Order: sequence, then C-alpha cells, then structure tokens
Amino acid sequence: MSTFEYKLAFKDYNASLRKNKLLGLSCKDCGKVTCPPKLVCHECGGANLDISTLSGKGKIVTFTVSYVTAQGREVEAPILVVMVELEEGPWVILSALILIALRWNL
Amino acid sequence: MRKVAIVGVGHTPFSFLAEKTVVELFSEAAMEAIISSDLKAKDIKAMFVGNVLGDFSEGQGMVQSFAADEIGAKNIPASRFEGACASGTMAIRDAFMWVASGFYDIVIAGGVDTTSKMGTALGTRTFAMFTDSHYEYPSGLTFPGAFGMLCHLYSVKYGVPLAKLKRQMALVSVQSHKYGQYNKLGQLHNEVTVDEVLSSAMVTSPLQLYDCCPFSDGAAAIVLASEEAARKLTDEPVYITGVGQASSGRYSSQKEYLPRLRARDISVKQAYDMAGIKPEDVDICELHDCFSIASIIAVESLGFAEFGHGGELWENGEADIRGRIPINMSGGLKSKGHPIGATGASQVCDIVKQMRGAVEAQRQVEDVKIGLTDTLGGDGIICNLVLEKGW
Repeated sequence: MSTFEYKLAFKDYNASLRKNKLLGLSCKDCGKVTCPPKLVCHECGGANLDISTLSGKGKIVTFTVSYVTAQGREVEAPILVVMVELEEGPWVILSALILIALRWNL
Repeated sequence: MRKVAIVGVGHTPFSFLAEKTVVELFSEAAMEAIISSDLKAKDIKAMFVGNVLGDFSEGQGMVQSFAADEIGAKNIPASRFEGACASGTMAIRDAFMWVASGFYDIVIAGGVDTTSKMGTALGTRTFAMFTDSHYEYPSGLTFPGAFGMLCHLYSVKYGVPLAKLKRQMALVSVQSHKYGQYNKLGQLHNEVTVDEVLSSAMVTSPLQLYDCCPFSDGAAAIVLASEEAARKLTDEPVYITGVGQASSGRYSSQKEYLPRLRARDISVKQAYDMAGIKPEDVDICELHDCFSIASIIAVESLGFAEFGHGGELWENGEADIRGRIPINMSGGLKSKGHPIGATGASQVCDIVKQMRGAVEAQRQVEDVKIGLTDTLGGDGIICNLVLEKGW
C-alpha cells in the first residue's frame, strides 16, 4: 500500500456511476467539491477530502452532437455529449444517456 | 542564458497518404535543415522530435533514434516529445533550452506524423486519446467534439449569436484556403467560399467539414545554434527570443475560463515577457487553427482581440495579409495540413521563411521582424515561441 492513496480512484467512481450514483470529493479545508475526482482538491490543492454523493442535478452549459465517431463506436452515432455545471459547482463531461439515468434515479 | 538562433529549416510536402514512412519523412526534413545550414549531420549534437502517433499509424515507436541513424548523426542523444498536437513546439522549446544553457552548440528539432494513413475512424479514435481517457472519452467525446462544445459555449458566454459566429468561422477557413492554395508544401490547394463552408457536412455540431483541418502526413525540422555558432553559418539568423509552455487538466476542470484555454494565457505571457514584447509588436502569427473556432479563441488569449471579438479580425481584414496582424499565411492547419507532431515546427519554418522573403509571392508579408507561433495539444498543452529577425 502506498503512503498516499486516492480517496476516490476511477474504479470506484465508475462503479458508482454504473449504479446511477455520481460521487465527488468534498474538501474539508475549503469546502469546495471536486468531480470527477482527483488526487487533491481541484480548488485549493488540499488532500483533506471526503467522498460525497452528488445530487446529479445541474445545468447543461454546452453540448455537441457528433456524427463522426471513433473507431469501434460507429453504432452510437450520432452521439450527444454534454458539459454540465453540477449544482455543487464542478463541471463534468457526460454522455446524454448518463445524464438521463442520473436524473431518473436520484 | 545564451542567445539561440534558427539557422536552417527543412519541410517536406504535407499530404494525404504519403508514400514515405514516418522515419523517412523526418529524415528528409532534417537533412534539408542541416544542408541549408551549411552543416553536415556529424555537426548535430542532439535531436529533439515531436512524434505522436507513429506507433498507431505505422507501428513505429522511437522515430527519433532511427531518424538520427538514417541521416548519419550516429549515436547522438535523440529524444521524443509527446504533447499531442503541440509536440513539435515542445521539442523546439527543449532544444532551445539545451543550446541556451550552453550544453550544446548545434542541435536539430522538429516533428513528424503520418496520421492520414490511419483513416478517419482510427484517426478519430487516436486523436480522442488526448482527452481524458477515463473521465471524458467514455461520454463519446472526440477531439472535434471538444471544440464543438467550446463553440456553443463561446456563443452563449460572449453573446455572439451562433449564426454570426458560424459566419466568422467560415471566414477563417476561407482565408486559410486563400493563402494555403499558394503554399507549394501545403496539402489542400483549393479556395473555398463562405457558402461552401456553411453547406459542408456536419462533423460535430456546430462544426462542419470545412471548419476542420484534414488528417495529414509530413515533417518539418529546424537547426538551432548558439549565437556564436550561428554567425559563422548564416547571414540571416532568426532568434528565438521568447518561449512559453503551460498545461491544463481536463476541459471540464477549466470551467471558469472556458471557452478560452487557461494554458494559453500563461504560456503566451511567458513568451511575451521573455522577449520583452507586447502583442502589438507582432508582425505575423502562425496559430493553431485545428478548427475554425480554435483560431477565434486563440487570437483573444494571444492579445490580438478582446474576448468575444476574435472573429472580427477576419470580418474586417485585420488578420489578412495587409492587416494589423496577418495570421496563418501558410494556410494554417486547415489548408496547409496538420501532421500533428510536425505542426509546431512547420509554423516556425514558415515564419523563418517569411522573414527571409522566401515564401511564394502571393502570401509574402512585407517587412516581418517579429513572429509568434501558437501550438495547442489536447485538453490544453500550449506552447508559444517568439521569433525575431536577426539581421
């Protein structure tokens, strides 16, 4: 075990997202929320973090509809990708399908 | 720190489906740069190469070592730089520092890629690797998609109606093709009209085909030398007087700055401050127009326009050949092409040739003394170089 570990690594963030639950990190130093997770608080760089469940609510700040997709994802086209400002503050990039799932389940 | 000069430059044609390999292309560009510097390969003490996708396009890693051996610069230290589309400028910036420090007197730097050989589907997949593979790519984000999102955000944040913004963007592409058609080393040689841009196929809303640069194959290289060494080699040295580089995390993490890219604000300030110049001192700029909206976003952070007003430079001719700040007289990534590892070095080559009066007459800017390059990689590596005519 390393002496400095991720509070919330991709594996657990992603497993939670698959259950339509969006996790973030609340900073005990500055009070801000980081999502998607990082090793330290995005706002203040502090490492004093708690995992928190986010509301899944927010505002779509921008989007694109992609007709040309990466190899292996052709059947998904057109893909609607959105950038969302979560009500807790962070911005995240999500597929529209995940956005809908979050809103239905939370 | 010592002054560092660019002595000679080399540049292969940019094209679709080059017949030559990634190693051959870089070797040809490097040898042209060496010969035009009145040097031999054995005079080169180190090599710095931007190469991003040789592994995927040709199954070729370590392009730099093979290229050094190909040209006869046997056993020199050769290093590869990977910062997506900014790789070539990253390589030049590091080469600059090795010479400025006094460690080497004469080195070569540049870049190469053969991305068109992958085809559009694999090409799109590999370019998407320069977003966050776990937190962004699963959403379906592609590299054009990221700029599609920035474009919509630009329209909302600055209150520029999308129809007006799209027309400004079309003018960016029209100008790139207008000058790119004359660049003999460029990839696309056709003019386009605003109507053609606005009726081209939708790639990722609101970006259409002619808002996007092509996939390209090609290489570019420059020889860098200390001021003392350069004086013996050329009467026309071009000095690198300012360098900047900065990086950012995921697009979404740049929330308070978007659609501008925070790394550009930081990088270009480093370069301007180091050179002791201001944006209004720049006579010519080669900037990273991977997408038409990217040009409009870039000119604002580079200090050529107020935020939200970048597109006006193309509307009123200020970015044109006789305008206040001629931009992308090479044709830019849009028309000249974008072999990603080569792009930063290609920008430098073209400004050096502009200063030497050595480009095609139709795109020659008069009396270029100070030039700026701007290169963007992925979610936000930016490199900037200030070049100054040394004679």
